[in-house]
Amino acid sequence: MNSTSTHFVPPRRVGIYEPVHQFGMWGESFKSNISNGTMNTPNHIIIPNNQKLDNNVSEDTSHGTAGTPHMFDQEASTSRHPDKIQRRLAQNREAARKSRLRKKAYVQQLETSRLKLIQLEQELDRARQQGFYVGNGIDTNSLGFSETMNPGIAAFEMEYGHWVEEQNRQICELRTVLHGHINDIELRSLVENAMKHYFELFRMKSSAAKADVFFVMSGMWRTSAERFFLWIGGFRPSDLLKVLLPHFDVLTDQQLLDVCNLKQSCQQAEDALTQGMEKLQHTLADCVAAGQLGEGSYIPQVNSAMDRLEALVSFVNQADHLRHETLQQMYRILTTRQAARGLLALGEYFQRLRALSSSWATRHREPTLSIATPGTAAIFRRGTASATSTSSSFHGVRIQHQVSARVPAAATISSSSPKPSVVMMSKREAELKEIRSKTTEQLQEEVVDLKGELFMLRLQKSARNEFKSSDFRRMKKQVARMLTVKREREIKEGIKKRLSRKLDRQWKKSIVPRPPPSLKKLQEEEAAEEAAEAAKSA
Amino acid sequence: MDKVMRMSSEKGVVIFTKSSCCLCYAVQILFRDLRVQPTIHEIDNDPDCREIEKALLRLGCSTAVPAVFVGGKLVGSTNEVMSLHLSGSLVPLIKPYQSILY
Repeated sequence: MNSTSTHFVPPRRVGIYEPVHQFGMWGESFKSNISNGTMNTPNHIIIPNNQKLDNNVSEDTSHGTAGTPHMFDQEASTSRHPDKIQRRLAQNREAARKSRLRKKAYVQQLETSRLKLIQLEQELDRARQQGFYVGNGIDTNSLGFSETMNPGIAAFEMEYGHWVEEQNRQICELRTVLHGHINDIELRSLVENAMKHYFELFRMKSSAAKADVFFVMSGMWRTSAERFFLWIGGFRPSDLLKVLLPHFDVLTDQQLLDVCNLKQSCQQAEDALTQGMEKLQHTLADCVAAGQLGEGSYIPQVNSAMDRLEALVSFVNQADHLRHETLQQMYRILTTRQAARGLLALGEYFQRLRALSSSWATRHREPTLSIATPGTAAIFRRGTASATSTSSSFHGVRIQHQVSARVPAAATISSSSPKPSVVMMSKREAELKEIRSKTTEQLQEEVVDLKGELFMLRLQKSARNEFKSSDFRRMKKQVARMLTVKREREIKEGIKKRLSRKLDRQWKKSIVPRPPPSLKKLQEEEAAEEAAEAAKSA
Repeated sequence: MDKVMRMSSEKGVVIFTKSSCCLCYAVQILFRDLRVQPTIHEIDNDPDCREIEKALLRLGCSTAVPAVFVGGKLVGSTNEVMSLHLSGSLVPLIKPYQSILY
């Protein structure tokens, strides 16, 4: 048996050939297989090793056959075997090899599709959390291969998500800067950044329109309230002016004149585009309805309609151009400070629309949650929580923890996010907020109470009474949280470990044991009972 | 090419359109709102349609239609018209051609 490099000998040249221990060849052959489009390319495949044919393992590893497929005539020295059997064996081997390669290709395709699916699901979740509606790309087709999904649209949606985040950040910055003092040069650069950001959006929309103009027109990449005001794939330029103008109290006469003219010309341009769109709709409808409706064959109509639809892209581009120009003109007319205030107003207008969309979407789920700013939401929640609980949020062993009933477990938008969408806090965040709102002395009292409760729990356990075992863990963790917050505050003041430990020891020594709230309740109830009985019998 | 020059140097506002193009229609509406009666040349009814398109593109329009000429000078396509209008420069341009009525 000679040693050779690996090749696929075509069926006419029968011989025993040796596979090579070259696992790296897998990739090679797989690629060449795919690139050739078929599994059956006789001449240039380097066959990877088959472990079943171990009898021919030998010094082939010295042959760096990374890509030099050369035909090697191999006459078998086992010429004792009749040719037929040999041929059959060889063909068998080949078939086995081919089927293995096919299986590998299939598995690889499955893997890529799976990864893609996971990716898309993640994006979906992210998008849903932010209150957007992820659009058509998902539900219109099965998730087989990337070719069936629109990569341009997926990319656009992700980019838009980032755009909104950046927009919110800029708005916050503008807000803080305008409340404080800032020199004109810095303000100007901020304003110009904000303008560029809007122009960036129009650029993104233009490439998305090329990918799928219907998607852009549908506004599915925006929130529902924004969609209500949709005009050719975005906001109405005249709306922009309507929103902005009341915010400028002091305008010079020239500015007033310019603004009036801008308003008028913007409206005219908008109307012209609207009418153009209507005409497009009519011609498209005529196109689709051409000929006999009901015959069952309509390829020519569909084709001619396709040509018409190209015009839609240019309409979307024109609409964006109009928005671009309106913004540009406003910037030209106003002073830097006025422009900054205007951009802030505009940005917050859209933020409010987005918040409206989120709370409208969740209005059935959680009727007690109110809209918008994190401040009000927190106050509301704290108010209700404290109304139903005592100063400590623990009700002892028998009563359920009230806060959990109020805040839905499903609501997970982090309260620390800068977006003023509907703030739904998870249980733990709500509790943490409560804890942080207490003073250190209150925290210490709470800890003492909690430890008392734990003591009561232990008593119940030993008395083989009814108790909830989860309460142990819960309360211990509450204690831990409070002590953490206490230590955090100490660290902020600059108290180091040794001193902190000393203070801690002092405090512990100074604790006066007292009955925890649950016990107090029990005693009160008993007292009430006795009083009732005494009143009855007396 | 000379046809284009000839047609565009007619007095007033001249617009080259295609009957199938709805953006052209939008531009016409805009001028109508500005009380201007533009001269419309529908180039797809013209035998030299292809030549005219090429000539317009060579003259500098981003898209062949709609192409707007005012007083013999090229204004441009929809983009340019909109920009000019919003910046307030379109109205003075067409003022001599505006009708006084309505």
